[in-house]
Amino acid sequence: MKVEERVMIIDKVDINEDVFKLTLKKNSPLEIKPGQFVNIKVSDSDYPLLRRPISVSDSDQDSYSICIKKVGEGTRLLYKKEIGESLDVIHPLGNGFYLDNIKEKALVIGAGIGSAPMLYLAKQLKTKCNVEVDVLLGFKDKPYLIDEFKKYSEKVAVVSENDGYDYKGYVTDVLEQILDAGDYQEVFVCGPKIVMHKSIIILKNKGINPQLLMEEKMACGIGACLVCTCKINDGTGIKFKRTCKDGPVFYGEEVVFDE
Amino acid sequence: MNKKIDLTTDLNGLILKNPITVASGTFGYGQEYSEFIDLNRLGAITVKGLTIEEKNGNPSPRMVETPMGLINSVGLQNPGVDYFIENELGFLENVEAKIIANINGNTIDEYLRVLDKLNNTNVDSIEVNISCPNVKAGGMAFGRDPKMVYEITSKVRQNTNKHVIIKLSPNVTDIKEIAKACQDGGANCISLINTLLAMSIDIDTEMTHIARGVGGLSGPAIKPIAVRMVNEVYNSVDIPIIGMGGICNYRDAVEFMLAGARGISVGTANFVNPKVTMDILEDLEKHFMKKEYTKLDDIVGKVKIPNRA
Repeated sequence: MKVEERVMIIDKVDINEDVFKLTLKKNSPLEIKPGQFVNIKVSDSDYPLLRRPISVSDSDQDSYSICIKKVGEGTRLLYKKEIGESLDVIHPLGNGFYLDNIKEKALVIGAGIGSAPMLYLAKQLKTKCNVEVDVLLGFKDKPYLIDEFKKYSEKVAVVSENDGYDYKGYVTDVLEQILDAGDYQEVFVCGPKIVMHKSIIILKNKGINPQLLMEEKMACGIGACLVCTCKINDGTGIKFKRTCKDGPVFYGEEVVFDE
Repeated sequence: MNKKIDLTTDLNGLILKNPITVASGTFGYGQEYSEFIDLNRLGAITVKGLTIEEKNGNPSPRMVETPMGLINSVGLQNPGVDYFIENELGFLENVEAKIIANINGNTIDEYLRVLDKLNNTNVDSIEVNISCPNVKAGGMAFGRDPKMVYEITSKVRQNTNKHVIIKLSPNVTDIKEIAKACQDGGANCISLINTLLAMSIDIDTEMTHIARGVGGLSGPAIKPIAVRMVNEVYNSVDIPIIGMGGICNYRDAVEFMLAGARGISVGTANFVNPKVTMDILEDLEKHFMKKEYTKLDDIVGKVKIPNRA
């Protein structure tokens, strides 16, 4: 059940100079699934006009967290909010990951800010699905959220374009060897489109159909306006599905990435 | 003394209980917003545009935010009129709001085929979107040429008993002659404005934000243009007008009504505040009370120009 309401900021943490985390107090028990997102009004005026959709990176009985990367005007305005202020949100939105039949060891792959929603996924896989979770994270510069992931996983591999981490380069450079070392049937991916596209190709060669957490610019966020579509081929031909409502989780085999 | 306020909206063959409607393309077929507002309180719901066949729409990206607005290029994605009738109309029939079916085509024949299907249903009105390109005229939008507007309006008029609204494109040199062509062709009512053709460029990638390049601009940024056009049309025709273009609150709605709109339609604002239509309805009533107005005739077209040229 979705609702529009004001929620209070009860915590604000700088993760690095570009990324910060807000924790929001739930007004009532609100079930949020990993892979779902919230659509936030970033100012009390009509400028900027549209809400900003941000994935949920953690959730419990009383509150939930979102990690926001400062990429533009809207996200920078959100950074100016302080603990004690409230935000107008529409939540929870989207389908969330499909976790009903997870029995096997899972591999969770996150790249850049795409790692944030995968943290909540790792938590649910470990604590609710009771499966072993291995994690593969990739970052351009300095990695983040690593210690948080280690709460739910004994195998967190970190890839960075800088030296000093488990691997140097891109997540897709090491994915194949990670897959060979484990025996994963459940794989989840979130990151820049090029990372997801390359990952699907590698995974398909191993006979794995991953769940992808997609992203598109959104307007209504609830499935009415059709601007956020994701190109899908589910075997019956090309279709455009709504990232905000039919997604943001789609199976890798279905998603069509344009060259 | 509290005089009773009557917001009944007479659109010349269609009566709405109040002037608040929602704009085609912004409200789907009603189901998504039913989780946020009581749809029964709306005057009318204009459904997402229908075509004779299912339409996939444009490649992504389909939208970019611009100052006080957004440009969209959805490309009329819709499941086709047959699917609408079988799967979406039922939900709307259980809602008190009147149903306005927005129809589209690339030839007049296509419009008439969609119309023919809808004639056998309970939709309360047909809104003809004339911003579609006429492929038989080199792809120029129907709504740009008064002769084409007259032709499509009169063909629709001849082929239905239902209430007919023509939705005008603002991308024209003279909206007055377009409006007159609608009236002459037998339309009951005119709605305006549709979106304005617009472009936005990413200076880092040096590409347009929208895959198709050009899209339609909507939102508060277009309101002054829309208000001006509504007033021009009001002064050119006698048939009633549904005004739209950036309405975000009751003050915007009143502006449109003073300019000459009898009904108003809310589109982009629904994305920002899903309950905006209810806020506008309540605040409009309060405004009427404050001004001691009791009916729409007290306000429609009553704008005064202090020193007209």
